[in-house]
Amino acid sequence: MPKYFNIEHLERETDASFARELLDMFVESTPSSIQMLKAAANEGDIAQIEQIMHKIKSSLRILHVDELQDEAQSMEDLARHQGVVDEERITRFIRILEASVDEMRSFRRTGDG
Amino acid sequence: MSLLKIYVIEDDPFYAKYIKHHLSLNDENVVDVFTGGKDVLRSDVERPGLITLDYSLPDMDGVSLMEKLLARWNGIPIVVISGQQDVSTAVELLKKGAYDYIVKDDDTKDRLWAIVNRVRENAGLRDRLEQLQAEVDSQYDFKNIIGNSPAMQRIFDLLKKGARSNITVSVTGETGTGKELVAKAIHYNSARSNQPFVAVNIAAIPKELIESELFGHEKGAFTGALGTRTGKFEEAHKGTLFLDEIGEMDINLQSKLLRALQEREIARVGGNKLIDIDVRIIVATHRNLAEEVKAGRFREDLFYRLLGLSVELPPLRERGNDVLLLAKFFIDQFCMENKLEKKTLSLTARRKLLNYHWPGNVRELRAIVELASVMSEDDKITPENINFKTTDEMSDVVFEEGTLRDYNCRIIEFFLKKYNGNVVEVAKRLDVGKSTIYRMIKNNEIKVAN
Repeated sequence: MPKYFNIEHLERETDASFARELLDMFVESTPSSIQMLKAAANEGDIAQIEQIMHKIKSSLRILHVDELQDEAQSMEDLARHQGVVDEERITRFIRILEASVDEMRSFRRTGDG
Repeated sequence: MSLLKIYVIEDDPFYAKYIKHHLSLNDENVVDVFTGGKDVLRSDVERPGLITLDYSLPDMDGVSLMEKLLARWNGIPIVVISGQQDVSTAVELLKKGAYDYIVKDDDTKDRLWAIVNRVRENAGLRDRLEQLQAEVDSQYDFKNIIGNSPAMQRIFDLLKKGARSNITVSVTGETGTGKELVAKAIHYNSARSNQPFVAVNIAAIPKELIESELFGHEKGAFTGALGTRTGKFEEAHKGTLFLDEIGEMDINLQSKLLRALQEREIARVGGNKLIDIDVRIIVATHRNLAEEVKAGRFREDLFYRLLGLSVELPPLRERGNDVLLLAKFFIDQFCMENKLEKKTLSLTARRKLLNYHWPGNVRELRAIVELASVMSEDDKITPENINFKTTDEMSDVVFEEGTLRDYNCRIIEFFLKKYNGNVVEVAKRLDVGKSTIYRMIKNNEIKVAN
């Protein structure tokens, strides 16, 4: 069973074939978001971090990446209302997001998907 | 069910794909995705049935895009989908015309699905309403009022004049001549045709309830007034109020009606607030209102107020061949509605209809030819299928023009039938000699049923 995302839940909500389409789309598009997030964190670009979190949280919710979906919302709120982001939280977020993408990629490659 | 075209305006391709997939599960939805406001506002983009709009778009903010969309497609249902739960934004959007506001969460697709069903249902109801409106318009089109007689041609001219203005119309005519049909025809051919047509039959409402029926009442205005209720005047606002059998209105209430017509405002029973009303009035009566005025039963000032354009519907017996036109129309309609074979009137049946005096007018004609359609065994309606059921029993006897001798025979036949062939009784009742009747029987001038 995947550790970072809930394939069963996703399949129940949609269907197996569409669930795999969504996984592929996420795997394809997220690395560029991760690069943008890293750059924004380095530059302290709060507005950019808020925008990336805003956008990615919907995908995380749909794919049931439970460990990150609330975190994305929380960081978006902090960035928007207080103009701050916690560097450690961002680093942890990026690490788990990369691990999630790797796991999805492997899931699709090994035929489990 | 017709296709529902849905536009998904969403800049996140992942979320757009997700929404499109769910909304496309039903083959009855066609879903197009737009990634920004500018794309959807292109002039070549057709009006959809529903729009889902992401609140945060890179090229335009949600509120201004929604306003532009509503300005372009008046009344279009727009569902705003936001990543954030924000009550004040939701309220602002709903005030500005959003159909609904939902947040991107686990329930989004179910909520969207419910909204799509609601929009589809409303669209279905709207289509049905438009269809019914078209049917009503066509039903009451002047050209669908049947009548070629000179009397009716004069009526058509009057109706067209009545429909062109807001003048009060008073329709008079015997019972069954089609007074309400005429009132509806004027309304549905006038500039008020998309507004309500409200009919009130004064004779059918108990005297003590008419005031409340017409003007409404406030809560507690009288025993049993448990809540506020609007009256027919308010219901007919911007439209037409048809007051049938106005001659039956209680004289005390007539002054209140006069005031409402003069001032164009009413007050509900038990209330002080004056309510503006914009109502076109059409009245009808089978009485001679001038005579009622003379007799002191109808206010003279109200009589003149209501007089307006006077339309006097001719009784059917004065409409010549219209009887046959109407009969054919009613027979065709009845046979079609009841899946009966098409029927026509025999020559003698036509004569029988033409020679009858129609005390119940068009209403009676309709009832009689419908029954005749049922009674007829084949595609011809014969005189035997036509039975006049009037309160005037002699009508059956004198249905066509004949000599006095013919009538004598028929009258005696009628009475013999009524009194089971008892010649003594019939002679006594008709004040003729028994021998006269016996002689007529003997000479086969009259038939006696066994």
